[in-house]
Order: sequence, then C-alpha cells, then structure tokens
Amino acid sequence: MPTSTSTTTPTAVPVQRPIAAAGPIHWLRNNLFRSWLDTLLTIFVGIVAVSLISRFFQWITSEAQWTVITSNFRVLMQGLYPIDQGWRLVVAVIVIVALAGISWGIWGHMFTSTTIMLVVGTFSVLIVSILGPTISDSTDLARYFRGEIVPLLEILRVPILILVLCLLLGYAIGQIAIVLAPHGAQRGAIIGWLLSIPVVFLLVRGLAPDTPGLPLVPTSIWGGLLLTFMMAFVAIVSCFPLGILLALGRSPGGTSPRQAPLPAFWFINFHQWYVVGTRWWRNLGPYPIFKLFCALYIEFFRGVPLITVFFTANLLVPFALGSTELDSVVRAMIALTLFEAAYIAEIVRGGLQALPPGQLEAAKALGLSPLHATLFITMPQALRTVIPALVGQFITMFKDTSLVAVVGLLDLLGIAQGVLAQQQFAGRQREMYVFVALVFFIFSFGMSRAAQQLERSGSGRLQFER
Amino acid sequence: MSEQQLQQPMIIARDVHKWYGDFHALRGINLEVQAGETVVIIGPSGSGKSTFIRTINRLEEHERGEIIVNGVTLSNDVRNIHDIREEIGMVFQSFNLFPHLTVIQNITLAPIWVRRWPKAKAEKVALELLERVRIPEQANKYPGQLSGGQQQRVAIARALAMQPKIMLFDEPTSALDPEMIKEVLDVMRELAQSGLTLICVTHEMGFAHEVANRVLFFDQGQIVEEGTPDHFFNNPQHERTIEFLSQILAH
Repeated sequence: MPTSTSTTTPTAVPVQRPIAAAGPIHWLRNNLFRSWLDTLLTIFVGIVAVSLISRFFQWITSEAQWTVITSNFRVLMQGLYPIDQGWRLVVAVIVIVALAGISWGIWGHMFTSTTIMLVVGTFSVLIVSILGPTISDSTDLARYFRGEIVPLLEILRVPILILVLCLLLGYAIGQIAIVLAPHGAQRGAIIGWLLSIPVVFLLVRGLAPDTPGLPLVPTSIWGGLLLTFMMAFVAIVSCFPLGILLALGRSPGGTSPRQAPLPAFWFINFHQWYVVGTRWWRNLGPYPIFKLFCALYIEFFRGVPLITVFFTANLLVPFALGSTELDSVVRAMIALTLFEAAYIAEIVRGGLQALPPGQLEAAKALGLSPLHATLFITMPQALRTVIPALVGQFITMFKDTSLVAVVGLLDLLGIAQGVLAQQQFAGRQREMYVFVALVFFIFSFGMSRAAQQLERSGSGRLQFER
Repeated sequence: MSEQQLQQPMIIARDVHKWYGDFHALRGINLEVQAGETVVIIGPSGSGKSTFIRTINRLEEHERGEIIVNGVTLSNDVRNIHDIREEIGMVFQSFNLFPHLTVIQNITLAPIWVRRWPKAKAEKVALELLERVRIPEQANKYPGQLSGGQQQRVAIARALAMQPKIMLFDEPTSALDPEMIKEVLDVMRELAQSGLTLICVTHEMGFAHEVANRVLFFDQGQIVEEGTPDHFFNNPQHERTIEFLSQILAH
C-alpha cells in the first residue's frame, strides 16, 4: 500500500461550466413537446386558447358597444354623489394615491419595468384618444374604432392621467424624503396614513348640511367605485392595527409546566375534570382572559360568513343601540373591519410563530421589555415574512366589498347591475362586466405589484442574502 | 453596601431544580461564583449544562431552590428579572443576531432603549466594542453578510454593549467551522482576563484548561465534579468524569 499522501494543486483557471443547449427549437421541444402526452396537451390547449382569443379579439374590434360605459361613467364612478361636489372626490383620490406613491418611494423600490408600463400605458391612452377622432372612416374597422373605442378612451384619459401622475410624483417625493431624512420620512408617512382616514372621510362626507364649501353628502347616496374604494380603504387601514393587536393577544403561550399524563378514563373522575380545567387555564399564559377573548373573537369571525356579518351590523346594531344614527355605510365599514381583522390576526400570528425562538430569547437576554422586543425585533420580522399573505387578504377585502349589496348599498358592481336593468342598456352585459372586471383588476394588480416590490426591495429583504 | 457586595458571591445557586414535563433536567445544583471568576462547564449533551446557565438570566425558570444574582433573588417579579438581565450578557450557540438590523443597530438597540443612552454615545461604545472584537469595518453590514465567526463576535459585542457584570456563553463555538473557532476563543480569552465574571458552556478543552479558574462537570442534571483545571484534567476523581474525558481526548 502506498504510504505517501497524494495532493492536488488547485487549478489556477476556473473551468467553464458546460453550456446547455439553447434556442427556440430546443425550448419548444423541452417545454411543449417533451412526450406524446405533452404534445397532445399542447395541441388541445392551443386550439382552445386560439379560438377563445380570436373570438374575443373579434368582439372587441367590431361588436362591443361601449356607450353603456361612456354614458354611465359618472354614476359608475361616484353613484348619486352630487355632480357639483365631484372635486372633493378628485382631491380625496389625489391624497390617497399620492400617499401610496410616497410610501412606495420610502419603503419600496419601483422596478423600471413597472415605471415603463405606467408611462407607456398612459401615453398610449392619451395619444390614441387625441389622435383617434382624426382617423378617416375609410374602413369598417376605423369607423368602429372612432365610434366606440375612442370615446371610451376619451373619458378614461383624465382619471388615468391624474392617478399615474400622482403616483409617480408621490414616488419621487418619497425617494427624495428617504434620502434627506430617513426616520422623519417614515414617521411622516405613517402619521399621514393615520390622518388620511378622518381627513378623506370628512372631505367626502362633509360635516353638516350647511357647511360652506363642504355641504354634507349623506353616505346613503354614495355608490359606485367611490363606495368600493372608501369601504376598502377605511377597512384596510383600520383592520391592520386591530389584527396585529389580536395576533399579539393570542400568541403568548403558557410556560411549559410539569404535566403528568392523564389516567385512562379520566373523564369519569370529577376531580380529573378539575385538573384538566386548571391545566388548560394555566396553558393560556400570562393573560388568560385576554388571550381567551382574542381566540374567541378570531374563531367567531372566521367561522361566520361575511354576508351574515353585514346583515348583523345592519339590522341588529341599530336595534341594540336603540337608534339608527349610525348610517349604513359606516355600519358596513365597521363590519368589514371587524371581520377582516380576524384574518389579518391569523396571518400575523403565523408570521410570529415562524420566527426562530432564538430571536425573542436574544431580545429578552438583552433586557428589552416585551413591548420593545415586539416593536423592534419580532413584529418587523414577522410582518416581512407574511407580506404576500397580507396583500392577498387586502385584495380579497377589496373584492369582498361587493357583498355590501346585501344591505342595499350600491358599490361598483351594484351600480353596474342597476344600469343593466334599464331598458336602453339591455344586452350590454358583456361590455359592462368586462369594464367592471378591468377596474377591479387594475386596483388588485396594483396592490400585488406594489407588494412584490416591497418584498424584493431593501425593506422587505430578510436575512441571509449576500 | 459596596463592601458587602464585594464580599458576596456574584452568583449563588442553592438546590436548583428544573423539570421538562416528567424529565428531571436539573437535580439540585449548588454553586457559588465569585466576581471576576471564569467558570467553564463541560459535560455530555443532555446533562443540563445549557439549561442551568439559562436559569441564571431566567430564560428558563427554575422550579425549586434559589438563585441569587448580584444580590437579587430571581423570582417571578418582572422588575427583578429586568434588573438582572441588564447585568447579564448572553452569547448563544446560534448567534441569534437580529437579521433585519445592521451590525451597529444590533449592538446599539439595547443600550438606547434599556439603558436610555443617547444614540451618539451608544454608537461610540458600539464602535469601540467592534474594534475590540476586531471587526470595526463591518459596522454597517447586515448579519447575513458576515461569516459565522464574525457573527458570533458581533453577538459578543452586542452583549458587552450593555456593560454587564456577568457574561454567559452557551456553547459559543459549537456552530462554527474549525477555522473560525480560534477567532472567537481569542476574544473570549481577552474577556476572561478583563475581570468580567464569565460562565461558559463549551467543548473546547484547550480553552477550558487555559482560561478557567474552575471547571464544573455536569452529568444527569447534577454537578458531578468540580475543581481547578489542573486538578480536573490531570487528576479527575469521579468515574463519569474519567470516562467523559477519555472519550473527548481520545480523538
């Protein structure tokens, strides 16, 4: 046997990794036609997709009649809100969108692709709607385009322009602020969001019937996108802190006490019932009543359909209070907030439980109080972990606002159905529902995009990245 | 008062017991540690050595007996626990740095919010400590960007920033590559000579031999043997100690 050790001199030049075969043909074979089953599926899905898309394309280039949108645009957007007070809605939208942009600039980082998408999209709407009327009516397509599509874009261009401009301006302001005064900017944005609820609410609703400049607009005549938006906005901003408190209330567990195993048939012996009861109570941790309340609250609202909660808020609350002073929109907002807070709480609790226990131990060992440990150590990390789930819940909330129809409020979808019920717009369901779906999609997609960027940017980044 | 505190041992444990469910983890620990002493605890895994040092800053509650740290008796009184934790620094096997904060934020967090130091002072102290653990250039990085040895040295600096009287080390080098163990042990060696009271659970026998004033051997929740390093390594008395040492030193 050889007794000497063998050595290898490290190669000075790193060896290139073998290049995998590439190219479109290769991609197609690898991804679409790998086996006969793949080929079969590809062909089947291809046929279905092509027929659906071509049908939709045909519809949108020659059949769709968008007058149902253009002539009802205002009522779809703001319900029966007085026309001469429309500026208040514009200001409210500007405030919220600008705040969203500023927060984005402070905590997130806008991808170049998103910026390009926003700017190019806005410009194309602008250009098409401005140049559209000058197209000659030489072909059917051009005539249809001028008659049906251009008016729609003309009505959409100002709202889109305002939204995108406010968002980008806010983003720029946020980016500048975070460089100039990081802490001040973050604190300012949070205070801004908290202030924005009452400010926007008062602006849109007004104080009293005779307030000069800001006459009362009762919530009973709110409707359309305005109602959807206000419901979602108020509920999202207020259910978030409530959900965090509930999660904190439910999370502390008992300290592992000595627990002897129960004897067989323990439930026969009355004394054992007492043992089990006290053990359960002790396991609730340091604040048993509080924890029990949070757990019951969460389980109750998660076990009840949202529609029932809306009904209850609408019918039973005035009955219980003995008055009908609280109007139905506020009641619905409270119902949605209470309901969603339970879901938010469970999401946040999941984030808290996913933390390695060493984090809290280290915080304790340093002498940090429970409040400081939560504020600086556990909660920031937990929230970052659950950003995707949180945003998913917010999007669900935004869409769930449509359920206020059950208590007689007309959100965007409700108004749409009201419009369709009129004789003159009969048969225009497709156009209307495509439009409504598009509006919901734009807001939901915006939220999900913003969340993705929050995750990938510095503030969403969690450990172990080099 | 200071006279009395000087004479009183820094840590007194009397008949400390602890159970996990039915498992009797600590079975009557009696120990006195003088101020400035360096005590190294060794023993097989599951012998209760980590549990014991975690009862000293009450990360684990003892269920019988008495622990007095720096003149304060540990009880369920929250104020006492906080007072004690301010005086005890702890370094964990898995570092437990806060991944969402930079190195300097990790170190200054507790001094700013617990000791109520102004930020400038806390940062000055933090930079001095980073100098002391020989990584001043890493101050603005995140823990995830550092090597294991560097992270553990940040953890030591974080514990030192509270200017504790006692430092607890819970197997500080067990999660490290052999190449990085030395850099952490060097820092600990320097700490032991600086007059801090040190209690260290470790498997580094060379370190124990060189630095410790006293070595404790834990087995099955009890202190089986204790003595000076020379006595302990050269002339162990108890058969469990002899067996353990022969296994450790065999390879």
